[in-house]
Amino acid sequence: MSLRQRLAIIGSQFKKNADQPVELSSSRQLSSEQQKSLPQKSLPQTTVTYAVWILGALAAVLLVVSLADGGDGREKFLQLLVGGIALGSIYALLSFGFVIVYKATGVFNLAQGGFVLLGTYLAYQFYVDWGWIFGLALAATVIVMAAVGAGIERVVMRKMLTKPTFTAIMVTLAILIVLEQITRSIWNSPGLVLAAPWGTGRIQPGGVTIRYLDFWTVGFTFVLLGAFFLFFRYSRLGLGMRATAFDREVASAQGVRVGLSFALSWAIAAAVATVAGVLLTSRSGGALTPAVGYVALRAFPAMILGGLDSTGGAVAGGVIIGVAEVMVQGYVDVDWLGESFETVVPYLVMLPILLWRPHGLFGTKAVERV
Amino acid sequence: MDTSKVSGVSGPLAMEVDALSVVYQRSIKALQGVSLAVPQGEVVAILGANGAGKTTFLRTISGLLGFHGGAITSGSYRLWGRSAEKLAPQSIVRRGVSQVMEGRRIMAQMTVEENLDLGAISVRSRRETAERKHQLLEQFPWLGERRHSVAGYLSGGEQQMLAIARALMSNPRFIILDEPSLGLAPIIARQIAGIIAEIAADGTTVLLVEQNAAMALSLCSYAYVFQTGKVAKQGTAEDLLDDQYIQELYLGLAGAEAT
Repeated sequence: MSLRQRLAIIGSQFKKNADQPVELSSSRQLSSEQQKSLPQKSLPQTTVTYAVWILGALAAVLLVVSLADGGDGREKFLQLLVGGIALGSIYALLSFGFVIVYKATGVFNLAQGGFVLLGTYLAYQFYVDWGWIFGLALAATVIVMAAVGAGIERVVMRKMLTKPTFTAIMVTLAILIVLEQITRSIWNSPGLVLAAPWGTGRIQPGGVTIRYLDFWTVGFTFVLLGAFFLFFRYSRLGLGMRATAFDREVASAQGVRVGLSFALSWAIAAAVATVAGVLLTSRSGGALTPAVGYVALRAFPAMILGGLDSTGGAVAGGVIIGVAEVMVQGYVDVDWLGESFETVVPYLVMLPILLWRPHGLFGTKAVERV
Repeated sequence: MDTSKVSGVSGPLAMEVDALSVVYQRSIKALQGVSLAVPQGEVVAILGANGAGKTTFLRTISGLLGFHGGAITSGSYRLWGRSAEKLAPQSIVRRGVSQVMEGRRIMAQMTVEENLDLGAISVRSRRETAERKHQLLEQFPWLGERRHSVAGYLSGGEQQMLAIARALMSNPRFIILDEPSLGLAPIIARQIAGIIAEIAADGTTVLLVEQNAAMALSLCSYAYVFQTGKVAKQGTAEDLLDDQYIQELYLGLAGAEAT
């Protein structure tokens, strides 16, 4: 472009400005480049995008199944779908906890499994050992665990904020091991049972078997996550937490108590981990084992699928992974794959995502580091 | 309250900084013995090139040094006569100091209204916040038209005005602006200057950091020139406008004498 052309363009821009000196509200078309540079996630349309993704995924599965199966295929499919959504709800809770901590503090919280473990055994203590009514025991556990989470943040993780991320993640690993050892040493007798009050009952509308457990799991998750979304959307603390997640220095300069936001994010992570642990134990018939903590590892794929920094994505990712896992369990019956092949499915889903879409389905592009 | 001896204006001081030194990562000296006073109700400007320590100075008085690994090593900082070196950022906001940071730094993913609510997060009363918001939306009508749109879609000038409005939401007695004209078309920069003049006319104390010295000197009554972490020069706006050094380095009037 010659200098003359350039000058002409600059001149025309000035003229444009002079035409509308005070009229700042004139509507502007954004170039596609500008639009790309904007964060995608909190725009209103993205809620629709989530829905489209989930429905699309479900429709695809439905299509495959209806092609592959005849006879009582529909009942079996619906049954697996409900079971999958229930398992997915648990993943959603866990991955929501991961994302909240990641967004607020930039740390990948490996201690989440420790919260699941300690929370579940604490619920056992209140409900079974001390004989409190279930609702009270669960509420008490959630409150205690939230305090534990906030306390760990305040005492240990707060000092890690200025340290390299890698150091902070290693510290969360240390916290995981400490929590695990504490739990193992307090509740060291084997064969403990935490049987939730809804028992093993089931209903069969139209030939589809649905366990009460699945209702309660989905219900708890729905209410809990719904409450958190309302909290982030409408409350002042929630606004402060969102601001902290976006830019902690600016949030601080506006008067947000960013330390409180950090502590709250850990409290929320510990609280949802507890609920997830109790629901998960109930899925396996109530038998308590320290292995319950490892399920948190299966929420990693859910989080990566949804996008590290997207709470909505965490929920969608959790449900998708849960459904995929249960579907595989129900349909894939190939000898050489061995038993319990479904436990690998979350990681199988995670692999292509990491290869081709590392920011996940709903994450911000810049956040790719895992 | 103290009275100002530094700037030659007598009256209570909104802010007084005395021999302040700041170090980053325990070794990099960013400010070395800076003394500066901002009288209540005045507009004071800080000029200086990149790396002169202007932004470090603002971080210091807003309590944000910790985010950058910086710390005050010596000197004192007072707001309305009370010591403020050790205050957390939110406590400084509660004392009535509000900052418009360099580069606007609006919450791009939030709506215009949420950005404004964020500015009032230190105000306890919801009614007060609502009234303040109403008042500001009348003052900036286009903000009202777009209160539900995502702030990231606003133009640069609009974002700057949103940043200023956000800072005003806490109803500050003292507002600090860091490079408010940076990256804006001249005509928008002039509008911003007009808004700053209005804020000052309301009786709010203003500390303005600007590379655009012509704009800064037209607004302020007194100015400081920072150079490599020290105050190299200070004086009333008229004095500095006449100063040959300022003319050459900051007003682009170099060579005027030679021809």
